[in-house]
Amino acid sequence: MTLRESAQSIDDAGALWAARLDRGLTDQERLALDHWLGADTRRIGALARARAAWVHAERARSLGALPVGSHDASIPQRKFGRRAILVGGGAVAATIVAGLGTVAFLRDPSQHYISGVGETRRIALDDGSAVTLDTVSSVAISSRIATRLVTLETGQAFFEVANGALRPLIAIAGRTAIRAVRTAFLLSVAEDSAVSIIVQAGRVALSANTASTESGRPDRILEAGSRMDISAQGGLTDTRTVVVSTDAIDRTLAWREGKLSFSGETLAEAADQFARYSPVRIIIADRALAREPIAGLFAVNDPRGFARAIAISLGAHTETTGDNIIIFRPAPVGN
Amino acid sequence: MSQFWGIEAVMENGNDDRSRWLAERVLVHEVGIRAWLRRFGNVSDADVDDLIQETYAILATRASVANIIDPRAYAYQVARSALFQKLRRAKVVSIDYVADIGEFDVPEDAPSPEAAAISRSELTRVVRAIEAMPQQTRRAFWLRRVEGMPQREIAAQLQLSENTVEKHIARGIRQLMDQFGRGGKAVREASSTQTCEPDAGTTTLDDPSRVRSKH
Repeated sequence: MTLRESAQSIDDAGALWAARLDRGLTDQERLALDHWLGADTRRIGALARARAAWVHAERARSLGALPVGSHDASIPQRKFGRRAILVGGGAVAATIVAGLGTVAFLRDPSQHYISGVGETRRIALDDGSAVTLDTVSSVAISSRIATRLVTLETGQAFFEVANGALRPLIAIAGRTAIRAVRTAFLLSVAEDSAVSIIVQAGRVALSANTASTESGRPDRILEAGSRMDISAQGGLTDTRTVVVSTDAIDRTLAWREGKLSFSGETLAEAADQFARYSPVRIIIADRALAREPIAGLFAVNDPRGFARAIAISLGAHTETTGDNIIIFRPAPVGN
Repeated sequence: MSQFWGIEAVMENGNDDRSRWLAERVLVHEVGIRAWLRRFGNVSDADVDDLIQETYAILATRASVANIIDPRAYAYQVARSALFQKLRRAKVVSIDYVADIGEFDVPEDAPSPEAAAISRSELTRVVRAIEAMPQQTRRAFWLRRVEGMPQREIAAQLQLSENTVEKHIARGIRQLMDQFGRGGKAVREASSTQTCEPDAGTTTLDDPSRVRSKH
């Protein structure tokens, strides 16, 4: 009796074929692939899955996006890469430096910072301002003569801007530029470049991100206690502004202390929040459970603890398999 | 050209539509599908692996997916049929095994979060997979996927053969597959905690700017 090929080894081969497809197959390889696929339907599935995983990982490009408006005529354009000067490391950050090796060409004079999964990074600037990165976020910071540019490339960051009228800080996210002096605000950018700002203290001036940002008249002002959502397509012509309480603002900033704070969000929304900070997936088995509102303060790095605590409070059970935890209500015992 | 009509859909680099559909509509739910399959008592981890591959095979070779209104539910149904087939082949009287036939129903989806929320959590999984890659694999993968450098140039940059770069890309893809399916290799190797050690030689642990939460 012949031993059946394991799914694991089929996945290994599928991944290899996907890597080859990425660089293009020779005619000979096409024939070989055709032949390989023929022997077992699982191989077709493995290749399809590998290709899907590869395509899905395209979103990683946002980690390396160049800052908008980084073109500076005084810096000669070079061919490759970008020198990343990083404070501290972490596996993801270390990759950039290591990957570029000793042959690092300057494309722009930005300092690039990235936080990994579940990581918080506080970057102190020379004038006393600070930018704190939330999980899986990245910024590029460049200093110009009259201003400092901080581009939020991906994720979310909390800005504390000191009194630096001589050199104001301009935060850039999507197509919006935010000019800030003596203020504190939370800035997020989505993958489609939709932007959200919550001002905690002071006020910020918003403009479209064009060359005239630095000295032009701002389009909008946002005061403390407000949140503005800026659409991906319309930029500042398509926004929604709401008033936000101090408590609500504090809740959105709880991640800085390694916590997540909920007050009426649904279990589904909470699970999605936890998903940003950890590879652990909280799976909610039914629609009714997912809609339950929850409240409380939880450690951001303990999704399992959260799931178990919530399950108890909702009369539900949990089941753990590897990196996943399922919350479910057992079917009623009948008949 | 291939005798497996429809598989071209996932093979062409120029047209990623099917792969993208699989990624956005099925891969994101794979964890849930696996968990659901596993809850039927006599389904082992190896069985689940087979069933998932068979499910993707069916989805990849369909002539068209345009008419599938609820891809997630459809993927569950396909996985369920594959499960029934497997149980029949194994001659297990599966219906008796399961107390309530209703357990075979496709679980209803939780109200779906905003696209932005899904995106952020998917990016997290990609980053986690990158973090879990061995150093050289991570470098090659980063240059290819994040920086967009062609494999040939990566070989020059990292001073490796193109063949080796290809293997690293494959390993990177493998890590992604594990991450999306199972939540990382840690599951397979039956270890319950995953710690990510920074690479030797980088100043990391003492850096006050970094706060790393351990899971």
